[in-house]
Amino acid sequence: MDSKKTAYRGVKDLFKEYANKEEQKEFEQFIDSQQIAKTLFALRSKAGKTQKELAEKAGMTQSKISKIEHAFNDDLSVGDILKYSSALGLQLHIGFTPENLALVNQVKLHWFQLLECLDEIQKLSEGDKEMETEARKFSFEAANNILNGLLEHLTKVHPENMQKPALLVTTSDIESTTKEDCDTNIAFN
Amino acid sequence: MQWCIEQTDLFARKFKQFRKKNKHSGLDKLLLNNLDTYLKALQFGTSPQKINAGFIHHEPNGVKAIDQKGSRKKVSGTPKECRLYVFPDSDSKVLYLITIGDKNSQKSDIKDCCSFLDESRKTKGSDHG
Repeated sequence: MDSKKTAYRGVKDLFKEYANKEEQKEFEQFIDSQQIAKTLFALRSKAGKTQKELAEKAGMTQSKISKIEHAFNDDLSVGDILKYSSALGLQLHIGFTPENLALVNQVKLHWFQLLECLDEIQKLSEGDKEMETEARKFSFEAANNILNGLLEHLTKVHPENMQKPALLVTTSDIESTTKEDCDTNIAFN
Repeated sequence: MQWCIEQTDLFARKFKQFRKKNKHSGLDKLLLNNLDTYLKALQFGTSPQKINAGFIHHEPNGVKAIDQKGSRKKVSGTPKECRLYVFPDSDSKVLYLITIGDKNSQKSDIKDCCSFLDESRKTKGSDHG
């Protein structure tokens, strides 16, 4: 087998090896101009549906599904995307962010959206004791998963200086958790 | 873990020749575009066997041949069907680009794919030995 090879993140990365800057730019624009169609195709594949099956569910022809999956972003209608995604049992969410939003700001944006969702879950559960318990459980689970994910990320980023946290809440702790427990701060080294 | 792409020396050599031979046709970009679509489906966590499209041909031993069909981008001339042969290794999440060719070279391309897989199995075997 060939000796250790360069691993490319994607085709744009790979193409840099073969083309000059001008051709690279043109190619990247070409690839980017079909991201919606590519995403739809990936979603259909994940759902395990053939074009024919999706067409029947969406009330479209197979030819139309194929056209959608190869369309440029500019040529897709919101109506077609809605029909396609609905046939896969998916909801379409449309959001707006500043052009060229820096990755660091994307992280912050997602963080605030996450907190909003968690707050909304708590609000919706108010007044129903059972729902309140479930909502509280979910918040602890979410915190557990998020913190573990972040710690894993930090370990990759700074493995030498990472120390294990003093306390991690696990889901088995949640059943004995009361409202008063929720007010307790979890401390880390 | 994200999928990544690795190219064999054979692919690198043949792709350079392919681009030179089809300089103004844009065929190389159409092939890479479909490759990008296939890679995106892999990144979504779908098993390679379950990704089906008109431009994906399932060859023996898990090899896939990706052709240039389907794109709305126009190409010059009446190009022959070309194929990019890849092997998706689900264990390592590496999509190997093995070789590239057209209808005329199909037989030898498939042979190259088999050689690649044989070599790959030998290497994995010696890694674990």
